[in-house]
Amino acid sequence: MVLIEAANVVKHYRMGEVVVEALRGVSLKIDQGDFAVIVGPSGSGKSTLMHILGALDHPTTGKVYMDGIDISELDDWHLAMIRRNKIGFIFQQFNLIPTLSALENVIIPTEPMDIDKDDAEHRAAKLLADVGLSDRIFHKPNELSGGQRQRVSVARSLINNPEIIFADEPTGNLDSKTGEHIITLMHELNQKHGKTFVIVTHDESLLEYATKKVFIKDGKIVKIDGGKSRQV
Amino acid sequence: MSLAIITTQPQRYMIKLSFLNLFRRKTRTFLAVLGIAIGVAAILCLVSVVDGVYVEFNNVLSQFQGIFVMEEGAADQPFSQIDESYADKIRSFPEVKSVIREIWIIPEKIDGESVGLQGLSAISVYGLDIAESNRSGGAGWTTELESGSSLQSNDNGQVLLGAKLAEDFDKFVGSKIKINDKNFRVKGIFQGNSELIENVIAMNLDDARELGNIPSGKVSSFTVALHDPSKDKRVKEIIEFRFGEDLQAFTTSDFSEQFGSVLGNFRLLVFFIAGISAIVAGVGIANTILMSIFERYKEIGALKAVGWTKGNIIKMIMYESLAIGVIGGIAGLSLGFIADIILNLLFGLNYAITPPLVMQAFGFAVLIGIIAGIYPSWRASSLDPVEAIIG
Repeated sequence: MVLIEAANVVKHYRMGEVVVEALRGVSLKIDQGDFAVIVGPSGSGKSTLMHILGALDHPTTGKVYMDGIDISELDDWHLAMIRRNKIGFIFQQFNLIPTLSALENVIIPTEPMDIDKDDAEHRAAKLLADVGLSDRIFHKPNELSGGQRQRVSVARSLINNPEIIFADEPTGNLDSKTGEHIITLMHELNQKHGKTFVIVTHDESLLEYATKKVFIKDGKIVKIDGGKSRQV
Repeated sequence: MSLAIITTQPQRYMIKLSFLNLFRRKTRTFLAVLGIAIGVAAILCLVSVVDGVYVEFNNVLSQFQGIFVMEEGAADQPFSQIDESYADKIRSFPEVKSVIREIWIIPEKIDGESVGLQGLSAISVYGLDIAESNRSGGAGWTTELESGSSLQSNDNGQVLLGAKLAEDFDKFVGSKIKINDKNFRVKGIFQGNSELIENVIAMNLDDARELGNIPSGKVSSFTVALHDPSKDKRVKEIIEFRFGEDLQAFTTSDFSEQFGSVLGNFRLLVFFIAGISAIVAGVGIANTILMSIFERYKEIGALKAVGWTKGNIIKMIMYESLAIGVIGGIAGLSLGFIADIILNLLFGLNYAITPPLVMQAFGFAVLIGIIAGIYPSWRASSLDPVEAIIG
């Protein structure tokens, strides 16, 4: 089942006088259960692609479909609702809130949602236990190591039980061993719980976990390997 | 796809987050709170002093009982002249207990020294019908005798002095005092609770008539005492209805209302002058919040990325701004109260802190807190999550 589809997506940025063509006609499908790894050198447009697929940004032209619905022209509020209900994010720099504990950082995406706060707390505690941090739930981010912080952000990305999780260079700020732990954790979530992942990285070693390998260069997809559906 | 999610649960983590944000830069938050606190303290302190003046004025008024009658159109008692015959007419009303005839004069010289109009605290001579005053059991201005004894109706050539006047002219019971070119003997000295009263020379009506060359059959004013003081408005209306062409009547509440309306405008002015400092403090709050937003660019971007809407971000920032307003308001009320005590100890200024004033000053702080948060919260909410995360 296709979760997200990008159809001939073009994205232009204006940087002062210069127009940068970050994406030049990208088409891609992400299926339910994929562990997709998008690799490319820096400046290839991979992060831009992730932002557009993740309902963070609009394409200049082209369409993005999520569950078959065109989201490419939705307003900010509707995109926020899609991110809130269907998407999880893991960032290279973790982007945790320093004043809140690990537990609260995991809960915070649910704060605006009309759900029982005690349920949210139980769920957050369980997710932290799942990522191996059951003894660290009341620690602040600055009391955690880099790997532990990224585990918190993995737990945070799962709190809304998303259909798909996007990770932007999730191992970029970690040493190789810690990075491997994180990618293994995400891979397990994919294998055991069927979570769909889209990982954007310049680190080609992550490809070994991928069920779908997407190579991007100069704003264009140059090759797609594997996955449950082929590029159209 | 269900998109509409309405929040009804209390947002305990959002409020906690807002509150914790304030403690990240304690000094900066402290300064913003101090700014609003000073503004609120200024409002509370200055306005309570103005209110204190009003309370004091009403205290003075409360020493005056009855209705005050003088010539229609006259600005003040010394410029008023009315027929004595009205006294009997008014006395015939069933509500009226007594009508005390009075003559008010502004003396030119005391002990050869020129005196005259000196603003509010001008010296005045007050001649009254002592027999009638005694009969009515102390209508008119009530004062307390400090030394000596009170005047009797046959005490010609004798006066009672207000305590301030006695002190200024170094007079005691038994001293001689020359008013214009006539000599009097001081029989007693009285206290009142305002300078106005303590600058009065009281004497027999006939002595005052002679001193001021007031034609016989004329006086300056009447003080009308009633059996039931609460009927003052009604009796005032009857007097003005019957004799309105020649007389005007005032009740205590008339004075209070007139003074109250003047003071009310002054109070508003003071409120706004003090309020300006609170508004400046509001600019400080806006700056504090704005700085903290720039520092939290990535965090706010991350919150938007994980599904917080513009409205959620606005709410979070508004909580922060509001918290500064509320804390500043509470601190300001305490500071203002302390300032009042200090002013009272140093300068003897009276103050009146009333619940409405406290609510107004505090409400002002809260309002400033809310207004100061509008622009920063809008800025934060319109932040592009992509730029925030990359940047």
